[in-house]
Amino acid sequence: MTAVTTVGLVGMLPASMVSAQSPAAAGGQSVTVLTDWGADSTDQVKFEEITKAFTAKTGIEVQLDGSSDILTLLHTRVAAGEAPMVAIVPRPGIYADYANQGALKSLDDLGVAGFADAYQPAWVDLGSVAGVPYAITVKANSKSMIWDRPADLAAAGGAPATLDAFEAMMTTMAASGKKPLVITAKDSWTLTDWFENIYFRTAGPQKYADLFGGKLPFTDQSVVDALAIVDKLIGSDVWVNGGRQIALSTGYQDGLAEVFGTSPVADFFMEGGFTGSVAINDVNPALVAGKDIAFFPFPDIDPQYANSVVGGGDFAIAFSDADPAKQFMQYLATPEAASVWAANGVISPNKSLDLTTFTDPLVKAEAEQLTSAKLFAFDGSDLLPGALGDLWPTTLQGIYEDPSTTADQLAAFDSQAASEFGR
Amino acid sequence: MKSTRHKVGAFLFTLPALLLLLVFLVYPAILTVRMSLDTGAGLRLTKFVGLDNFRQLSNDRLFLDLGSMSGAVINNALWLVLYVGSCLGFGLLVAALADRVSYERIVKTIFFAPLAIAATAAGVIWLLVYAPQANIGILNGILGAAGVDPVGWLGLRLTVNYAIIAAAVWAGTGLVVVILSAAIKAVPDELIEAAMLDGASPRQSFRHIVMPLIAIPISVVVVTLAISVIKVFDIVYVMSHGGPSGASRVIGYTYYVQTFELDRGGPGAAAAVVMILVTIPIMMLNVRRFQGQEPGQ
Repeated sequence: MTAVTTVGLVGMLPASMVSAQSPAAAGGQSVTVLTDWGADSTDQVKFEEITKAFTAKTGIEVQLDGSSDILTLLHTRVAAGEAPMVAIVPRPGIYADYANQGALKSLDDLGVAGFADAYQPAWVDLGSVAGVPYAITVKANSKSMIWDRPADLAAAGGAPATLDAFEAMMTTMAASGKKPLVITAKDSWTLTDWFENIYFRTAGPQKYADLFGGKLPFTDQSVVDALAIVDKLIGSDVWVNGGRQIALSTGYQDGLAEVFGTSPVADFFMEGGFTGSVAINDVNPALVAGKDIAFFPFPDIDPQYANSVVGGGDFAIAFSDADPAKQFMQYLATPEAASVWAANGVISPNKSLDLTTFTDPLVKAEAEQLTSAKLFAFDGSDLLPGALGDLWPTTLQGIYEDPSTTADQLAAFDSQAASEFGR
Repeated sequence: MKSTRHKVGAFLFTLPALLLLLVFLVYPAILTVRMSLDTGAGLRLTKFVGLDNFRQLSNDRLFLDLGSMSGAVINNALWLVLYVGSCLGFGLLVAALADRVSYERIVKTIFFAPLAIAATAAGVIWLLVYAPQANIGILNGILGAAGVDPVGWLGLRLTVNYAIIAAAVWAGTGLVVVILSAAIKAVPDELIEAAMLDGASPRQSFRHIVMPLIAIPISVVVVTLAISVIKVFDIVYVMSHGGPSGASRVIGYTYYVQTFELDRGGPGAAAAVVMILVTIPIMMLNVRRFQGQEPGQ
């Protein structure tokens, strides 16, 4: 890129971001990167370590911008012809749409070499659209975690291995007058994670892949059965703090405060690996990782699918094959970038990841869970194409609100799914 | 000859304003209509699909479900009746009563204060009012003190729309108070005094003297409120994300989801066209009302 276009690009970026970055040196190259992490979020701050290492190595400036509302920003920027050179997005469904529109550069075009060797085939497949690799998974996280306060969990008998044991434990705890489980159904995405964890553990990997891949209708009996288990658990008046109607008006962060705030009223909170840092950074800074907050794996249900993990990730994609973009994408796939992440307590699925480098006990435990899982599935709702990504959480929220409508809601969702998947 | 020159001159003088209107209002509006007939994938004109988007919207249970009388369009209608009615009712009441007391300024300041708060901020404030935890949510705190179990106001299909509309009325009544209060002040005192001398009660003089004289400001207020209701989005987004399960979505929310979250300009533009279509009768009523008033003014 020439100096002239660099100046042009800088001119179009938000003022707050330009002032936060040193301006590109005259004649120097730069790459624009838009991430799905909020501007001052923990992950963004950690990601800056990678961009700094990249700039130190190549001399290419990184114009970094981030928003947790990335869909709005990315869609409008791309439509306006102002696409960032590189974007980091949370859902494969997003880059599938862009790849199909021809807006993305493939990893082959970008000269990202050795990619297939550095990652497990599952991650390579996940980053491909119709067999062409487009995305590098830069960050992985587990979504099969139940967060607890270690001292109270130990007093209750320690981490339950099976769902039956978990339910029995909660019944015992509830007998003393306190409802242990927090459900945050106001944020409908948390319901998708409950469903995926239970569906994967009851229907198994093949049906899971078929369901979210568009081959199995959502009206299948396996879905109805899994939803019944979900509802028995999270719709319970015995275990759920406040019961169904309070859960429907409780958001993710408010619910987290019920377990990890300064005066906790409940004991368990199911959500992904990011929950640890949200609890510590945004809910209660006094928490000590590993002592006041920890997690145990989502309990097993069917023994044949024991030790399974549902996980999510963040993916780097490139809208430009200009040299700075190429170099940046190549760098992201290197063991070096993965080790910078690891040193900052972020899990990369790069095979070279060294678990011993993690100092944060929560991140270390999460990395161990991810690497030792017998079965792994990617967050199914993040894979859903087009309108389904919005409709599925809404549908699950409707089913949770009134379980007697399950058949109706599934049928309505499936008719939309049939047209989106072209079946 | 002179009149032609006069017309050309008038045209030239209005030309800059006309150009601005064409570029920033007429052209985008036409483009929106065109986009509503297109798939609009990637927010660009991609493929002409006729009325497919409108058909898709009419089949979308979250947009319009006549069977159960729910969906974004029905919710907007509910907003129209309750929000406009409540703002006008409370606003008129406060303006009329405040006019008669010595601490009028204090009353008006209190009602006007929420107007200085952005709708998103008002939404956050009312999130705290409605919070299900009795130690945070004042409403549930009061219920708790009375021995009633907490209610999830924003998580219940039955209450969510009313809860959000109440917050919006809190934020919107101030404007009505200020406009109608000024209108009431403009009613000549002699008229009221004359009515009193003729034996009219305060209620009668308000109903038969003041009300007809402030009819135009009232109609302006109604139109302004009605239009702001049709495009309402922010406070819903902040307070309920359109939930539970789409129960509090409004037309503007459908527009947002389709356009910005799903990158589908077509169905999004179709929702926007529905908004324009709903607004037109209100505008026409307003224009006609002004025309009807003109000869008498």
